[in-house]
Amino acid sequence: MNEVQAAEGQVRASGSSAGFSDVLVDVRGLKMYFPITEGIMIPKVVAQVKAVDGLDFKIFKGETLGLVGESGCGKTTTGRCILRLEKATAGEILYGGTDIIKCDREQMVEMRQRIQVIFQDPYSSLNPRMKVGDIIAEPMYVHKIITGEAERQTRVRHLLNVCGLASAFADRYPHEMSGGQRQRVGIARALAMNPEFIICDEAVSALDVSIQAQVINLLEDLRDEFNLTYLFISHDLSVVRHLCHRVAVMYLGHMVELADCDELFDNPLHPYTKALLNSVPIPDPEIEKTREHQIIKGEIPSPINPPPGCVFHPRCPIMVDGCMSKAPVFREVTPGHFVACSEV
Amino acid sequence: MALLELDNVKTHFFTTAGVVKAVDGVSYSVEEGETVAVVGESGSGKSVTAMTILRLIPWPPGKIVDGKIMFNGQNLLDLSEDEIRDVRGRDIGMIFQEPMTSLNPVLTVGLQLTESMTAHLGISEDEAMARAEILLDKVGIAEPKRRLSQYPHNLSGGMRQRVMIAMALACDPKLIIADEPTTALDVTIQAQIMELMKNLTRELGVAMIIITHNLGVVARYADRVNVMYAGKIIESGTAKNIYHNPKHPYTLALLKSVPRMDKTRAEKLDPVDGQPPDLTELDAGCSFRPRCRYVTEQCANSFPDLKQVGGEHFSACFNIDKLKKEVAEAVR
Repeated sequence: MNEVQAAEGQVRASGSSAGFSDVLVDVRGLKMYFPITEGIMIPKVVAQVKAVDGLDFKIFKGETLGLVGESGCGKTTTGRCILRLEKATAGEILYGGTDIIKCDREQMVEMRQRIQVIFQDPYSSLNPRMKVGDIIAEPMYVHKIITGEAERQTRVRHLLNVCGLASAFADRYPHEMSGGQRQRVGIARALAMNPEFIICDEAVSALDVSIQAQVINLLEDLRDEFNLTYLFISHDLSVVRHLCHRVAVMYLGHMVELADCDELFDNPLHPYTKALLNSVPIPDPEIEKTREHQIIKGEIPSPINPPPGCVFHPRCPIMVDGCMSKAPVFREVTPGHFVACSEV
Repeated sequence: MALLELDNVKTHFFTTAGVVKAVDGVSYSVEEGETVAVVGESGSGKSVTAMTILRLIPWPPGKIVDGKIMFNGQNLLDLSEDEIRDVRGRDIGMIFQEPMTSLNPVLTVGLQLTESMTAHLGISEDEAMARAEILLDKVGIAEPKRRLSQYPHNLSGGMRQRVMIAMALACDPKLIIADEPTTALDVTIQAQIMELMKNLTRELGVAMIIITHNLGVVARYADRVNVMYAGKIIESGTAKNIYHNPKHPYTLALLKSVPRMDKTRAEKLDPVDGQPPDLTELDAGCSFRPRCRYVTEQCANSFPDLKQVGGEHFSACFNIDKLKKEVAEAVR
């Protein structure tokens, strides 16, 4: 066992969340409801999509927190709320002590230099009419952090190299590049502001396996080199296990489980997490042969009209009568392992 | 005799940028009732191969330029347009990736389901509707009667894919080609759909070709696996052989690129550098050689043949011996 592993072992034993103690982002009671309106002249709110419905979690400085769940569970909305691309309906998002939701325009400009985002689709997230060099330089231009044109170009080239692209790519357009290369441009753009926190929203999901592995390795290298904190939003559990220190599982706007990475995958407690892990096929035919394939029934209900009580109860294999009326509390069952289920 | 046998099939696209050799000499077979997987990354030619089997390649720019596709004792490439239409949907069913775009949004589910039955089986619309109801029930859709009169937009993604499966099964086909059947779906729904397809194909004795990039799905469901790269099959064999004893550097690289959900992270991923080649600029040599770690001079001269390397295991590589050591380490 080398030193690093020994250190990791100690941290795990102490139960403090994978060894990170400084809170960077503290999300409290976050809610994001999108109104559904009827009528063109005088819109009337007829219902609400409860995309995120009461989240409490912390992101520690230097860690990578995985946020997993299926389509429509609210994982992307959570990320967008932290970026304030959506203005949350309720709750607090404390970033280094400042509530992002209450920031005014000026404070937000400052905040956005510290928080950056990498999007899923490398095709639609880059402006097709801009050269790659300009795409990467734009945040520096907007935030006026490097004013000299020549200096900016030097930094652009440096960022391209850091992300594994040749400097010559600065003069190309996005359509001249492959998906993997474009995603590297997206990463370089995020790094341009020297951020401390990057939200990766399905950042590797659109890529082919071998390219995906290259980008995963790049994200890891950058994390170590620039001491980055990631919120890694993904539906791919294998990638999350590989890259994250802690993992949160979301279902229908709620967080159902949160634990250290290995703890969550080796000892899942919530029935939804168990079902989710069970659904993922493992690339090994011998293991697959002996594995129990318990398939969860039904589909995700609509967030417009979520089930009362525990939102998972209509699909839950261990449901009891109480689940239909009483929402479970998101509680800490063992140090660092949170779960929202009354039957655990 | 195999149910389906592809022999040196070549499908090329004649574009202004040059000839794209999307499928360039592919041979594989599917036995009755078995599930065969075709894996590869985007642009490897796996979907074009499937389209070629049903002769759904649009001309221009695409053309099947060479090869034989023997199905049920006849060469599908020799059939007339009318004859191949009888095969499509009746003998060979097809499930596409995008359940949203592959169903017609302005026709009811019932109409789309019965269309192939009235066309191929010569039964009346009422009979077909009755059969459609049974089919929907079989693929696990609740209240099938009500669903028949609904439109695709009334259904969720998972349900649409179930309808697609029902359509593929409608005329009792001998073979189903499923092109990325679960890629657009969430994992729990993916598991439901794959399980359903496995059970139905076993129950009805239907053979299936699964085309996918998901190595997990292949490991769980396929009997035999063909790995494609740049229009060619570079390795084929039983799932066990491919995963536990890969004999081609690309297959090995693929396996080392996939993070594992069932194991604690041991080390960084070890993917191949570079990216797949431009299919218009292929030369006579091995198309994987610019990315290959075992490359020798020989690789530039000719493309290696698919050679038998063990029982039911074939690989197209000159330097299989060099691979051995790394494989022993990689198979965890």
